[in-house]
Amino acid sequence: MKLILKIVLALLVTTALAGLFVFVRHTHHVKGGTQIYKKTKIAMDTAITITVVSERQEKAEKAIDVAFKKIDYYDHIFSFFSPDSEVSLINKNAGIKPVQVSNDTFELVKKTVEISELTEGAFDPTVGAFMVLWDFAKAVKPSDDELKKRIPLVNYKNIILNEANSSVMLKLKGMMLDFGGNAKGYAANKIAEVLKGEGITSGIVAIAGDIKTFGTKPNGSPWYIGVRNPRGTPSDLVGILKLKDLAVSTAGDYERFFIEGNHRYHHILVPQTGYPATEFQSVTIVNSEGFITDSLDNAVFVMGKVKGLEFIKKRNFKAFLIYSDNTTYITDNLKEEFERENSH
Amino acid sequence: MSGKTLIKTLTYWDVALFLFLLTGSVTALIYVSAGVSKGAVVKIEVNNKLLYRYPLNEDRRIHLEFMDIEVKGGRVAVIDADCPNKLCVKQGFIDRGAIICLPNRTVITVEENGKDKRGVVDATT
Repeated sequence: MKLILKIVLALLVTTALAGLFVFVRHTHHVKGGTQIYKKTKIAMDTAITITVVSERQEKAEKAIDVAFKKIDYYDHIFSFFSPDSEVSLINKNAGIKPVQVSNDTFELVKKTVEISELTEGAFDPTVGAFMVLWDFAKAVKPSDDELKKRIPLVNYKNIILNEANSSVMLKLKGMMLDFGGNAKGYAANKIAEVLKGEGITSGIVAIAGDIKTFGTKPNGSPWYIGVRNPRGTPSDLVGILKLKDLAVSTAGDYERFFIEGNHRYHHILVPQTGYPATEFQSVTIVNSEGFITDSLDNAVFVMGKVKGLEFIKKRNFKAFLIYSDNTTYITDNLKEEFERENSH
Repeated sequence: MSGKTLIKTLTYWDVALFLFLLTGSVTALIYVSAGVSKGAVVKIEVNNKLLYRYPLNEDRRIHLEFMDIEVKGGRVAVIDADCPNKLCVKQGFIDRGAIICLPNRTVITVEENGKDKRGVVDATT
């Protein structure tokens, strides 16, 4: 009798303790339920990953859905390839008439013209007239003549903006706006605001390599953003940037390119010639605004080693540069956020 | 029998039995919960639509019209694709993060319990 009682008691105590163990684990899971949620989709001709920190999965998923809907909207109005986008309408009416556009498109064009002025034409959204002659996926290179003929069509000074009726006109027939060089960074910042509107206080909007971070990871640490090795695989990094509330963009000669006769032809074209810029492998810019980082990484890439560095230093921009000879340069004001990978 | 007398009559064997039971049940619980959380899966999405979802710990080959994918030893890779630069193939086997093939609008993600399996970095520029 005694023995049975003891065994029953031992079983009861064991069960109770095991139950307590499960309970503690479960409540710990609920309380410490702040998690990182991620979703990747293909839009704006690239891969977009949205990362949010949330205490509830439904809240995270809803916020991510709302964000992707807004991305579809930007894709619809800014697209260079979609024939009914606002940008395409402006292009079709080049040299013909002004096109009334949404506030978003008007703002993007206006801000881009300001950037073109700041960079003295190193960034020029009318580079579209050259861009259509190249096909980097099919290794199509235009002839010198074809490019030369189009040089007059690439000049941001021929964009006519009318604030009163929110219209845009390109002065010459054949001119083409292409925001492939900065719409992604512009959108990244806007999407971060959309997420904040959904109650998300921390996260990342990564539209290809144009990334806007806000808040911190659940443990309070900054977001870790890898900087790609231009001559490695996509997961091969040269360093890690630790960012809080900052945006980063990289322009690289490895994103869209083909190699012909030992020469690499890539998508970062010099607006004055129509040929790819040659002095960098990649240019990474860090700033609070994605529009700035995305526009300037291209502009500095086009400016080249001497002018580019002068521009960055003069205005105190944060930058990490990989020159075409594989050497690197980092501005003093970015050293604290940057951790170099040993492999490079 | 009161609690006091019960404790007094406990032998070493009783304590040993109790500890054995306790160890056994806690071990079983840990084993089961660890087994559940190890459920990493591979998700294959084309054109933003989920096509396949497989456990990462079951080896298999997946043939798509434009791409061959292999799951092997808890990792996944694109082993062949018809895109021009074959960046997806060059990425090799991964056990976290994602492989993205833009020309084929394909995203292959490693997930754990519905959440992204975290790598060293949170994004790449």
